[in-house]
Amino acid sequence: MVLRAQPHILVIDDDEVARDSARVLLSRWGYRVTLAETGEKGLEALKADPPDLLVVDLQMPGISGLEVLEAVREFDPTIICIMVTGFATLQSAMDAMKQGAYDFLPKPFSPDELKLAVNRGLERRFLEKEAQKLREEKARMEANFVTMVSHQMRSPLAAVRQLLEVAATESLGPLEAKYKDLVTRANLRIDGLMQDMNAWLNMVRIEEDGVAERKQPVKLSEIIAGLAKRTQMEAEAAGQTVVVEEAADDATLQVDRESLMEALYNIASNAVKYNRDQGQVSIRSHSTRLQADIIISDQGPGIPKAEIPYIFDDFFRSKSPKLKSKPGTGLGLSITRRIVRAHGGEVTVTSREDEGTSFTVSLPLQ
Amino acid sequence: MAKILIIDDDPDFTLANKAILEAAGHEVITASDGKAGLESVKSQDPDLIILDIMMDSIFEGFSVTTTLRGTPEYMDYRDIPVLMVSAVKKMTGERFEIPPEAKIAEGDEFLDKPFTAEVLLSKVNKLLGA
Repeated sequence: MVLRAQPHILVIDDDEVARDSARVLLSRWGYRVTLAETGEKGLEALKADPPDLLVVDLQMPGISGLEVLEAVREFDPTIICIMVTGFATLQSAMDAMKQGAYDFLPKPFSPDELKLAVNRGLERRFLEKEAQKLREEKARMEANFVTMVSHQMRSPLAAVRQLLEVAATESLGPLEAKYKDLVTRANLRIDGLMQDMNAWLNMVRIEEDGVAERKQPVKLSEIIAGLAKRTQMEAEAAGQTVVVEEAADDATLQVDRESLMEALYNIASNAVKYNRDQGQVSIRSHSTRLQADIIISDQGPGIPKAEIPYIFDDFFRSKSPKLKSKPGTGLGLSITRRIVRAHGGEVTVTSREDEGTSFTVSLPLQ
Repeated sequence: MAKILIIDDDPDFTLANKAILEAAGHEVITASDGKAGLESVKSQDPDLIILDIMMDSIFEGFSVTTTLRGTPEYMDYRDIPVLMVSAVKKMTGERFEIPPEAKIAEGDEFLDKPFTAEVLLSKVNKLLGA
């Protein structure tokens, strides 16, 4: 735990008796205490030696408790503030809470009431510090992961693949058929591994901020056309057809084109992959004033009902024999949902056994 | 057939691409860092440069192009086409974002490592205007 060392409490109160009793009690409970008799002096002390928790009187000569709260919030919003007042009114309590006070103690209060408020406040402070530490650690781990995968693993693997390309193309002279087969197999495995790595990298890289930064206006028809073109090639190779039905009115969306196309293509590519032989993949779109929907459907075996809640989870792969046989990382749909959600949208699925599966990507308009 | 300079600090990449390009009939010279690469540009006057962006740092790759395209010293060589290659990417399909004021650092074409011989040769031919 962070900061389990002696917690520091600052008491600002113009009443000397109140200050003294706070000092006696808080010290007895094992806290380090600083006292100040005015708001001005209190803020000075706070900046010189920031406390974990502040107990401040609302009514004081000079700057008031509320003004102190405002200054504290500006200085360090993580400091927990407890407001104390002799003239407890609902309005003053609400004002204090609005200024970011964590708790409100009407005078007179018993030592137990003070203890409870202080303990609760400090607990909250520790939890926030702990959460902050974990957030930082997570960010660091993600950054390390990306560096490790992209530099330490991807680069050498790329070099191996490039060397094998020399053998595959027999650039240094002909290769015996048996060896050539081995090289071809090795290349396929490496290509698959590199695709997986790209998928992992994408997953870690999709952050809302990044998407928001890259957003630009794109017409719905443009997105559909781009998706249809890309899907067409894959569908043709698999002996399938693609049908496109476009919305009558052409909405304009604010999207990060590259990541959104990746998300949609993940779904469309699944539709081709899991479709029945000579099946049809349909891409439809429609929009209302508030949102645009892009619906991608296949005529495959459908996703078992019990698996539907998990299909967007990281690394989830179907247990269904019909679906399991196809290669995949179990990351495509999880990445897709991250991207769509980073756009403020949502992706939903309906599936009927032996009839097909339909994914709907809904995106907000403005 | 053309004279091609490969600037890359990964000897395996250099070896592989040299073999592929030579099999297609090109003459290949190599350099393992930006400084040696720029020296070879002057001494060998290649028809095309294949440049790894991420050598010691991203600056090393880009500084080769900025020097080549932006300094009077390389005035006679600034029209040599540059094919940039890299194994590091921010996101699949995404290029390093180059601010408009640094467009000079951008090469003429870009390839993600690894690439097939077919793709490499077609980019090379395109840049050579063949």
